[in-house]
Amino acid sequence: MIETQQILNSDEMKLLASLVGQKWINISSDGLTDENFSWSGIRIETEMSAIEIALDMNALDIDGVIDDYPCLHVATRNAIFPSAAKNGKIYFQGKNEIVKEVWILRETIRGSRNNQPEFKNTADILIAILLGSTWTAFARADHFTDAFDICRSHSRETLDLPNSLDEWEENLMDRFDLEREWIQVG
Amino acid sequence: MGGGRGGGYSADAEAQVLQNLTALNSQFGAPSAGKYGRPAPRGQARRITSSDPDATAKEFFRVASQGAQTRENPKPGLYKAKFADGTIVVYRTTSSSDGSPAVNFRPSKNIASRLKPHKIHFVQE
Repeated sequence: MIETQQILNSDEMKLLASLVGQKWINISSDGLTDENFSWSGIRIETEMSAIEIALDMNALDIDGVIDDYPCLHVATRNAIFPSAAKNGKIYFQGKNEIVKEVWILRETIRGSRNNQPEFKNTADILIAILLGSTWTAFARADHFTDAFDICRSHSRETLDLPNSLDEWEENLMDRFDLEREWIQVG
Repeated sequence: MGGGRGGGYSADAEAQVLQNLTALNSQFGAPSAGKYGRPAPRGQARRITSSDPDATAKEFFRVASQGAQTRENPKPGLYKAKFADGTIVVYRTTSSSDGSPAVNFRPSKNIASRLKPHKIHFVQE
């Protein structure tokens, strides 16, 4: 059986956890089309530090064929993206609110053919941040695309999650199961 | 490449996407199970075969992205289109995995009953 992982490492988890308790300043990105979508990595600035969340494309054999898949990463990002500053792609919603919680959504897709396990892929697909009383989530747009949907909600349970099983095509031979796990990182 | 009216309001964008799907259906055949192309023996990505995969992929993206807020990524060979309803289309002239041109299609939730998120590789017939 093929087993693959596209998950954050412990250093990346620590970076996310370090946001908790900090005062939110803004988000910015070269790729922001509006406050709900970004084609590329997003810089999150707080009073004390700044990080970037990004989806890097990697060639992986998830289900028996090598293809390009986006993999979530987190890194420090001190400088603002030059064109984001130049083009005003900076959003200040929630400025001066305190980051209370940070969670990630980890998905596991299991594929079977003729009832035999074929593959298992585990991926971190969303980062959710509780800012004051509002949740802001940065979600992988889909299984093949390195873009972020950004959604907001008053509870984590009502965040607009991607329908990941839509991307997997069942037939008489192939079956897919989806398991989701919320993990609090800070 | 692409361009057009700019995506505008969500309802206009959705109408534009549906119009594009109609055009795609007539040029590339109607989707099966909500996806264009034919299933590959393995893997989730679909395949569209032709004598000129590069030209076919380019034409598919041109039709699919009509009226979107298209922009070319700073990386050469990467084109991205987004509509105001949330539909996105991405065209890579060369996949890093197998070198073929490829298009990803992520429909908005409003048209998810008609089209599923999927990727298409354009390969030599």
